[in-house]
Amino acid sequence: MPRPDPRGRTGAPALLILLLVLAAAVPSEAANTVSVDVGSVYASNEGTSIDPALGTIRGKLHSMFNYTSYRMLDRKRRSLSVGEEGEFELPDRRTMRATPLPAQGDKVRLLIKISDGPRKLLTTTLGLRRGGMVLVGGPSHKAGVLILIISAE
Amino acid sequence: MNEREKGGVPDDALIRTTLAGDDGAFAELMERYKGRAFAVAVGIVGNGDDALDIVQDSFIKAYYKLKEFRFGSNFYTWFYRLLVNQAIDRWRKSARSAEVPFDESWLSEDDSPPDAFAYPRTPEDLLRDRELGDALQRALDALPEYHRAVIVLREVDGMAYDEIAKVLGCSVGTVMSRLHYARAKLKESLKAHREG
Amino acid sequence: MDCRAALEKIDRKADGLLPREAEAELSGHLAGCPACAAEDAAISATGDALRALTGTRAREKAPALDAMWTRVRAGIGESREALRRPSWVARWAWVPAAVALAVLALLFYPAGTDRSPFHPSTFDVAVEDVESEVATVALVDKGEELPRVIWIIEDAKT
Repeated sequence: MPRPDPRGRTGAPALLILLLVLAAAVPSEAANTVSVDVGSVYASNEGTSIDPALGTIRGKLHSMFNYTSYRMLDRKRRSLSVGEEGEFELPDRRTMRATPLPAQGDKVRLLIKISDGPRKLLTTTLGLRRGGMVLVGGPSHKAGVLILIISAE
Repeated sequence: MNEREKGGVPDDALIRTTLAGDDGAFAELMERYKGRAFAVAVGIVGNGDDALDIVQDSFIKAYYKLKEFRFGSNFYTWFYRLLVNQAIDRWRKSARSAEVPFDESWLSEDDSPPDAFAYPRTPEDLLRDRELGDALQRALDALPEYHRAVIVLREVDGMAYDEIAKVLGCSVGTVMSRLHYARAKLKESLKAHREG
Repeated sequence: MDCRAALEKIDRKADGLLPREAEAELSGHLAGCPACAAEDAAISATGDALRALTGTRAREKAPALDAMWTRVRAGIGESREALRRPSWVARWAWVPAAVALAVLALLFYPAGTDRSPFHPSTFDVAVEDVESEVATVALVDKGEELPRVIWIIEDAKT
């Protein structure tokens, strides 16, 4: 029987223990946290490529808009507690701030603020179910527009 | 009924060239089958936009699985297996419902929407009778997925029973019985539409 | 040939699988049997209608289908980038890198980028209020199966 490699695979068990300890230290607050996911999509008439990362909503984008090309520029996800404001950097130095608000059951309420420097482009309060999605679009980007895909879990 | 008999480079040669690193060969292979692939996909999912996604995803998947292709077998049978599975998966995942109804308010001059939005298309003039197309689509949607796949592969793509059996991984007898059932159901819906 | 035998042969005829003699025999029966002739016509019409339906859908999407290679090539490029990762990173550096990421994730909740496809479960969204200091905002609904859209119109640029 071969001698065990002294460099061995001690890393894996050690990591597992570390993760378990860290996980146990984090209180379970799933009900009071909302995972906010923001995808930034560049929609234009330059070319005809549809980013496969857009998944099942590719066809829906085609149905809703006249653009021929959709490319996901960025996507960010943050877990936020109720009342905690999370900041998401958007293309062209715009910013989105999302704050989960108190809600009942499996519903999520989000206060969304989108700004372009000092200019407040949008302030809105949305009510949606976990797993729900809404699009916010229109700000110009290069030869087209930005469409934000906002979803919450 | 594969494309190699049409002249030009056989499918196998295009596959070998693709595997050697020439994506242009795969583009040619894709051009040969994309029309038929779309027709099958749209027959199964009933929606043109979803069908385009399915065709795109299927060819991307085929590109990366090309090294698993057994030379000497039919490329389109092998590819159609990927395509039909993608279409059926997509059907199962989607919340299938009636088409979004045509909203005439968009046509009002007083209510012009932002230019970015797609104006509603002219209502389908299917067989000069939109209701016939709707009735047929509803009947298709009501079929179990593999029955729908069988009748689409047979009637739309013209695939032979044994090829359909290979694509779907079932026996020729199962293909025939599913086809018979699907035909009967579609025939009933068309008859009901005519008499209705 | 009786009607039962004829009905069995009508399906095979539709699929071009009847031998010539059998087809001739069936034709003879159909000429004298209105019910079976109607069944034969209905089976043919079903196939024609299905082909017409998919043909119409294909014509609607012809421009997008023409550009399919652009989409496929883009998708292949995306997948290629995802796969292109030096093996030595995965092989040798995963332990300290994974520990560092776990600590950061749990302690600082940084924004993480993700390229897994979107799979929304619902588009049911209530917009409780909406305002803008510098733009016009439009709410667009195109049905339950499509996402709700909040469209920002800045100085009529979009």
